[in-house]
Amino acid sequence: MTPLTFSQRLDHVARQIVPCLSVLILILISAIPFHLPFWGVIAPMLSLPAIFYWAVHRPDLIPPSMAFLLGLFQDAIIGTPLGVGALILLLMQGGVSAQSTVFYGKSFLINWWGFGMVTAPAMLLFWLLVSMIDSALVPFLPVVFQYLIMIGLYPVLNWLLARLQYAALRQEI
Amino acid sequence: MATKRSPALRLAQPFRLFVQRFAFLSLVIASLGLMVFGKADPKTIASLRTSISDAVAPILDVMSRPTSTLSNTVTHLEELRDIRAHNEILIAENQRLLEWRQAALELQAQNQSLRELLNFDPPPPPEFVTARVIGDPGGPFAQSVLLNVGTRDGVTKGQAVITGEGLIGRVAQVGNRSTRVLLLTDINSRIPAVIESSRARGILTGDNGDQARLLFLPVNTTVGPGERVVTSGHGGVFPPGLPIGVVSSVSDGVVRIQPFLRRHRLEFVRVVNYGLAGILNSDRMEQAGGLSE
Repeated sequence: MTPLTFSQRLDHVARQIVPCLSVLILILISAIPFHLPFWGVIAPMLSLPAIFYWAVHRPDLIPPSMAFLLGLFQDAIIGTPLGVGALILLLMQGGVSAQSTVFYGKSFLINWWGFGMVTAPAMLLFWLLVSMIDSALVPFLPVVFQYLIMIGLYPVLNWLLARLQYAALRQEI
Repeated sequence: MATKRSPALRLAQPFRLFVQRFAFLSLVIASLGLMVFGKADPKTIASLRTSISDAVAPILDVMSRPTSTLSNTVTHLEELRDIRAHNEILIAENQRLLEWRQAALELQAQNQSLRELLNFDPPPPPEFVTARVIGDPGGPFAQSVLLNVGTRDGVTKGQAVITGEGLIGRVAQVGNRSTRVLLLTDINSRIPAVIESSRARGILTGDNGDQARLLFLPVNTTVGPGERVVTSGHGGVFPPGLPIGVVSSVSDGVVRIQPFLRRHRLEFVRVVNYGLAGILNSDRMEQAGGLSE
């Protein structure tokens, strides 16, 4: 194999960081004011579906360390206690990538069901940790709504991320 | 291929797995540590948070523009549709306001003469900075918005943030070019408030929902829906009389307040310096048990 030229290596790196960049942008999109009534209370965390998707399809490109850093970034932007989002994204990445054979190459419906199954305990843990740190019970119903909205948005995000993966990473396996 | 592996590689494989597991575990411990550390030393954690929001403020500023343009267009179309009905309401309201204006002018003149009698020196008018809301990170776990102003514009921690309708919250964190406002509906928000008519004092606290609660009211207070709630000025954080909201319901001693704050309509807000920061600065607030966060 001939050694890669500089531009080829640059191209390679640029493609490798696409998954992390996609999560970063989704976190920023979650923070934009949408000016929709009630949206403020139940706006979804778009990072969770994205972390799930990449942990199934390319777990090597979002390693645990990156999931941790992306979670910290999300905590800083949302205003949740620093470390909670980091732990949730980390556990999600670790848990799903360890079981990625269950989901990889399976039908979309299995992925969707899997996302629902994994996100429920993740949200429960998020709720528990924030309630503990704030030493007050955070209302649970908005958390359920947020969870349902994330489930509802998963097909769209899955489709978008699959397009992105095809566009940026199809040459690299 | 597996049969031809060198002994070194065969040893390296479990070792790599061990390192990976160890790295994962240490990251888990790191995030737990951050939560504890954030509770024990909020200042250091806050500065980390501030530098991150400072870094993304310009990006959010650009990203938030299309949505606000879209929302403005929708609002304009709605207004155009309702223009006739609005006009009738406004004419009637104008009539009423003209009468009030007359009353206000009389009272102002009376007030002026009484002040002169007392040699009263009015406080200087408050300074304010107008800011755009560039981030409204939703979700059930925290209620805050990000503004595109910071210390370079003269914003300091603890200042009141208001709109034309009333108080929306306080400055919780301020960086060089970004400010985080803790909305009064956040679970960590505590604002000394009074019921305007009965002057019953309480503490307004949020629960991360759309409404807030008024706690620690005197035992035999009678409150009814529709009564206005304003800041009391106790604690010296906010001046008295800033409108907060109206009582929406009273049940089992829980007084719920519907704030005037309409989060989805927030676009431009005012950060006001009432010159009260010296009375209760952030150091003393932390000593008093974290009133600020």
